[in-house]
Amino acid sequence: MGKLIKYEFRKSWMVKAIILAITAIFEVMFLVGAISGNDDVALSSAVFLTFITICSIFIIGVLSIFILHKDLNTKQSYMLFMTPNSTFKILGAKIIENFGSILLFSAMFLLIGIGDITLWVAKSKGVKDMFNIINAILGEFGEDYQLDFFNVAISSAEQIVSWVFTIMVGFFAVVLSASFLNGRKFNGFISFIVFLVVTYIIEKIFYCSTNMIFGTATGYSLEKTICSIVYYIVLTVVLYIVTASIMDRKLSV
Amino acid sequence: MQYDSKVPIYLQVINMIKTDIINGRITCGQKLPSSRDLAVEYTINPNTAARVYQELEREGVCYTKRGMGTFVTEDEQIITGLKKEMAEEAIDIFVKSIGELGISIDEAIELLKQKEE
Amino acid sequence: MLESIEVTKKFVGKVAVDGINMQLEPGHIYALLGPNGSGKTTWMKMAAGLIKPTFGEIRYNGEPIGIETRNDIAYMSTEPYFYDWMTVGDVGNYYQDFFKDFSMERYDYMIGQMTLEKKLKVKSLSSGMMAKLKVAATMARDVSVYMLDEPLNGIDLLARDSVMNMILQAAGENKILLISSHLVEELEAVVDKAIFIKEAHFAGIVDVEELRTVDGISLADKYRQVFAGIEVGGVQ
Repeated sequence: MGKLIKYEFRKSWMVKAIILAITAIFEVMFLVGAISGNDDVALSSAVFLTFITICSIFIIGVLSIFILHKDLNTKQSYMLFMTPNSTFKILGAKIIENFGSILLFSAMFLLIGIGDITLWVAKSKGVKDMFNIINAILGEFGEDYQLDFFNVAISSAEQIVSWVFTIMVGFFAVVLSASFLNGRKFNGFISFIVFLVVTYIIEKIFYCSTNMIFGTATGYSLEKTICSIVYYIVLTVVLYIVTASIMDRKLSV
Repeated sequence: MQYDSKVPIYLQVINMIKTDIINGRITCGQKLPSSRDLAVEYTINPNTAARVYQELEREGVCYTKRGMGTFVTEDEQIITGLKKEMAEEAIDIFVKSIGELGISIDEAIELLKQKEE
Repeated sequence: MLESIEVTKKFVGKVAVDGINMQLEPGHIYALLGPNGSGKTTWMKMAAGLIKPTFGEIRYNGEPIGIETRNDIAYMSTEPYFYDWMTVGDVGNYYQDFFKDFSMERYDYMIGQMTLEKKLKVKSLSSGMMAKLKVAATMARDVSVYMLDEPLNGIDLLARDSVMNMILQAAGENKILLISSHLVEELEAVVDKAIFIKEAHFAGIVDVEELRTVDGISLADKYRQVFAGIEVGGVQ
């Protein structure tokens, strides 16, 4: 399994290295701007860093779906499927590698963000009450929303888990297109529709059930977030088992 | 390695080995390669190679020492006989093709003598 | 023993393999012969576990083809299948990582024999060099069944000799070798059995040396007999 993960990482490291390089450039710009007191440079770098954070988590996920597509539909599929590894291991390695990457990148961006904000607050007297200001803004949305490290971490975890689940649905759709729908007309289109429908249904179920349990689907509460994390983890595992079983029984590469 | 694909390969390889024994490229009592190595050397199927040794043993050209491998016979008589046999085969082919051209044996001998000069 | 029981593979709109029954025994080198598109590759891919039969089953020593049989059966496809980022050395490492039976020593030896360099990028290889690399990687495994799909495709004369040498070195009493090729003449001396696949069906198996001894014909002659009247190219 370790070796499979190693090669999964090998397939995507280039993109990840580029993301790291770009992040490093803007981080250096931010530091230079913050330390030299050039607010324009520092703030625009901060905007870019935020943008990179969102983009890279998205890109890493989408990339892994593309890699799976290539691993199932080109001759390179033999590289995986000639080895004595079960489809559960092959797919599992992909999910673990992807989840790991997203987790590490999220942690990195989170730490950079906290570091940068701390530095900014320490440096610039005018924005000393940054957290207070942010909390004041957030307070408009939900009464319980308090920005502290724990809450940031737990909501990030929710975002990560639900994103990993979305990628899993992508894997499921790609496998479906390469197995049941293989060689049929509009197979790519049908599997994309499947992707949208599954994602929509799952979201809808979550929305309705939280509405029923907590009385409201909007706003923030710790219990709701934890429920959401558990919900997406369970669904990811279920979909993983379903997808690997389809690969095992129906997939011809 | 080029073979006549209509003639059994084992016979062709046997003839090559016999020729080598007669002209001394392979000497009396010399150890021959294992049938596996023979297959690689002559680019033939290993089963064909095994059959080559079976036939050569049957004819007394080779013998197998248990656990040691296959060796060429040390019996000079067998080799002399081999030489005679192969010469006859060559002559048969020669006579046949010269006959097809309508040339008599005597004329052929004349031609051979001229060739030698 | 590799056994094909009523094996059928249907793709959307065509039957690639239709009810093939046959048995391959250890100790032989088999040629798998038939025009392009006759179903040779599909059958091999099913035996390799890459494609699943629509009906029927392939068994190796009684065990259905699956994850486990990939430890015993090595398959080399015609098309290149290595990752673009790989070098010749990376290919060896990949096989080493996934196959317990892979011998890096043998791989290095064969790479040397074929004048391939480890630092060469797989992407930059000519088709001849790629063909040699695929054979080297596959034959450096120590398995009971080797299946080579068109190993001589795109290789020059000199390379053919070294490829044949590697194939023969791997042959043995306990091994099954199956080689598909449209270059029937190249296989004449090397294989001892030949299987004919005609328009997705099994069309007979012959002992090649027996053809020459009993019928006085070559394998190529037999091939022409079996496929007389088939349009060149077969069913696509």
